[in-house]
Amino acid sequence: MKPNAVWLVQVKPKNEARDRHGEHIKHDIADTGIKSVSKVSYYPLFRIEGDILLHDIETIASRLLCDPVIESCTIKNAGDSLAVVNGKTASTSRHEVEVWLKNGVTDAVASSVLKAIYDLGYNKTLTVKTGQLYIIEGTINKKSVEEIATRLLINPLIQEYKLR
Amino acid sequence: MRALDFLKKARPVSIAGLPDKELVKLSRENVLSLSLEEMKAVQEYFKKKGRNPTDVELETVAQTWSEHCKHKTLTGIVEYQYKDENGKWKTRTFNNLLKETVFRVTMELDKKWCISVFSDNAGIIEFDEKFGVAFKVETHNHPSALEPYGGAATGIGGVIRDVLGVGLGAKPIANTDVFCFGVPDIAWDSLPAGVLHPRRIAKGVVAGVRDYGNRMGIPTVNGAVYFDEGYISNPLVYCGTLGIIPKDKCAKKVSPGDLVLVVGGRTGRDGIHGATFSSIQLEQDTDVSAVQIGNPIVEKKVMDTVLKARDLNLYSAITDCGAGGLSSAVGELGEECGVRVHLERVPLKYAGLKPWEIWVSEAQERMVLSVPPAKRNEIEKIFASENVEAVFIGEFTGDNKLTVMHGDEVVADLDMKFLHKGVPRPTRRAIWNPVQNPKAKIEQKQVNASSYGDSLKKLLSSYNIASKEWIVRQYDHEVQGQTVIKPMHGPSFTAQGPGDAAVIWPYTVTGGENSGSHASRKAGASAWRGVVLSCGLNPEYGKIDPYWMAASAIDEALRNAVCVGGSVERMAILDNFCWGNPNRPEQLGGLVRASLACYDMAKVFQTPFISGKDSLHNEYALGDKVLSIPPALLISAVGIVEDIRKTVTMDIKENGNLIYILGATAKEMGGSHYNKISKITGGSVPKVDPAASRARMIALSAAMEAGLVRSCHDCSEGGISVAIAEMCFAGDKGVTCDIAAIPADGALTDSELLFSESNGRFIIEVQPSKKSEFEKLFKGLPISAAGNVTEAKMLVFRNAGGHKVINEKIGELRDAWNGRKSKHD
Repeated sequence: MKPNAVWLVQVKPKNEARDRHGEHIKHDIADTGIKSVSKVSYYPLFRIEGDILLHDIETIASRLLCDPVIESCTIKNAGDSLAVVNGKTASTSRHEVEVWLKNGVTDAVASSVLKAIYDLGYNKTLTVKTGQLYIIEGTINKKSVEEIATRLLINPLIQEYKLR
Repeated sequence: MRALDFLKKARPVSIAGLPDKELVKLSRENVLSLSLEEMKAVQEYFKKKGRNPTDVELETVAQTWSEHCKHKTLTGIVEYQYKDENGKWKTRTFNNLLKETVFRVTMELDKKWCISVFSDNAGIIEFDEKFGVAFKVETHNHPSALEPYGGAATGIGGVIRDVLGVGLGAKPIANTDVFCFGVPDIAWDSLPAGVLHPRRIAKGVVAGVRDYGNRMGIPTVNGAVYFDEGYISNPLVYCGTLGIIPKDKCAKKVSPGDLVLVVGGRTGRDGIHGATFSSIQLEQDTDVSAVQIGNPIVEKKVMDTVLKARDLNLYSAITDCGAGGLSSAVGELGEECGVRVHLERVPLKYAGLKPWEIWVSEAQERMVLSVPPAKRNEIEKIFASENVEAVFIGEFTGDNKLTVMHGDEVVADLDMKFLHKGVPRPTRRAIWNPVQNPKAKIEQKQVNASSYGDSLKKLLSSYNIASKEWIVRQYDHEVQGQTVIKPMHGPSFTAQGPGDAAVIWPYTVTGGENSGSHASRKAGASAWRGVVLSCGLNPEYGKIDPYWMAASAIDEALRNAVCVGGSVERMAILDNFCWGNPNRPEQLGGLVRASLACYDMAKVFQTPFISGKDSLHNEYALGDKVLSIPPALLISAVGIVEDIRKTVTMDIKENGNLIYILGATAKEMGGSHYNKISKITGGSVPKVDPAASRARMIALSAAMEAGLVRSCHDCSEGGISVAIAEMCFAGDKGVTCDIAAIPADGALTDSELLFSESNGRFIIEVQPSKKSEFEKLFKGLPISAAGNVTEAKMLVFRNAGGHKVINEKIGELRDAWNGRKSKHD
């Protein structure tokens, strides 16, 4: 049996498109009393695992996971650091928070994605998970980022987060 | 037994001979939420059987006997102690509180147009000769507190399935949503541990209802939002669905030999113990499996396919898989005859579920159908063609037993009679000891135009009165193309005001104007017939007296419906109680009072209750403190509108028209929003005179029928000043009003006339040319033309001395309501 590949697809708004969800989060952060965040960017994440090649993931990403008019995708092997994905080096003023559903929580979007992948003609067993990536910029320390994550970005009952 | 078998099969639970303390512990540790008395009944039953129960059996009993499924408290025995008017203590015993109040009034009214009341998943009233209208309102409070988005989404998903599962299935045509949240400006640091911030809850809940409702293609047309500190830990989320159903599809009948079909979503660990969980107060560490996650796309497919199968007469009964999962749904359908199911046939999301988990899981988007064997292939084909998973898991027997198999092992074997009739009926104590009303001191302020104007703006921008447009605009309220009266009224996007009720014209189902050509009907008899939906809720009054809170909610719901063109003579209501812990006598006492009001009011209004639901135990433990919610009774009204072309909106239409105030204002500032913003507590809450109120509603409906009403608005939160202000900025018109001309009960101060929230009042716009014709209809009723629509876009209230006590620009009032900084200076 071939080892499974784990791919991470990150959806990004194209340059002109507004990141409304990121703006909302930034506003909510200010409401909690943390005023030093200058920018929040939001990216949907899809984690696809299975015996599947990069070429196929590219098709899936461009045809299913992003809207080519306003969005673009980057694809990486899940082992790679996301900081590299974004082509920048992480600095103390830039924090990346990945949010994923806990195991066992129904992921309705993922099951729709999976169904759509099979509708595209793929027939190998795959697993899909959906998540979110938040990039928080500003003069802010790790403790505050953790506070933001638990207060605003996740519901600890069903989600967990990873700081990159 | 093979080594791995214990993982899969049922586990026997030692219950025989256990002492009381151990029984309580067993119930608590397994989240059964069964009381000691109930555990003893179970122990006794299995003693007679000469064996111990399996975990599947224990779970089945717990789910079936849960507060959520059986309404043990409201149908239980209640010993009610209260003080009569002379201050003497009296006792009244209810053998079944619900049957002696809310049900009783429906039975006594015995309206011929009630098709199904309190017996099915929703209530049904007659629409016309061919169709009925089904309406159900549910609560989803605890799940929404834990996961606002998922909780609210599955709340709306659940109530849609209730309507889809009434009779042989109604087609959902509208949703409603009513929320009570904590105040949005609470400081983060003062939040109790484990509690989400009210803003997060509000945003999540609204997004959940939006995403589920919009994706189902059902318009969300009516609702309300109420903010109060008491809902910080325990928000309330009410979701309602209206459906339309052919009259010959309103009853279900399971026959022995019919097959059990499960359709829709797969079963996983989600929502395990939802039903029993709703009977316990929220703890800080409640676990993940109680959280339900919705998938509207699956439910949409289920809905469409079920309705198709219904019209082909492919099944004999249907119900939704809600609280208690398969155990409740299958158990209910098989109650009269018995049923045998095979759990290993249930499609699972993932492997590893124990039999009891499959049996009680509250995974969403599932329905259970009873299918005559002859229809087996045909129904399978239909579901397969629509990509909806449908699996036969057993059959209805004639042995009056619930038999649950897993493979070749019997994991549960229970008598239906024990399961459905065996729950012990404890006696609960209720007590009502009215708080000695500290007379609210409302200082007679100096007549000072700027202060009343400021109060009016403060009221308009207060959380409970301010625009809810940010919520309303997220919902699709027009999908299906049948929404006649929408949530926001006004001639443009800039001039908008809050509508009182929604009207749906279900012509795509009922045939609408084309139905006039049907030979079986009188030409056009019900061609323009529609349905009106509204609600009434005011927890603020409940803090002073739950009786008048309930009465006011009924009056308000009916008033709202009448404002847009509904008729109180063809209206039914639904009750949804959200209360604290009924084991506390004073909490239950308030509940009894509210139930008594339901009876007294509905009897005189002649509006039967057709469905209802209660959510008790709304309290939150934090350390050794127990916080209880302010009790809330939501009344939802549903009625028939004879001609949707005669419906009325609330925005003022033309300059020069007369503004009538119908109904007398009384010294009733208790619980008013004016008191709330002025931080005055106590006082006397608005009472209801149902006979007088009904007479006004009937007269008003006659005026609308005659086409005499240009606009009409309910007068409630904030009183007359707020109601007229809303009509002004909705229509972008000004009004000048004489306070002295306002019909009043006794001598009232200016502030009372402007801000008292007395019930039974309406603001009505009438053309001067229709004056005498209009007034003729209101002979003997408290009504007066107190104002005029003016050219100037100003709202002016003049007092007896001719002083302008309110003199405000319409644009500024609108900005206050919209929460914007005014640019009109």
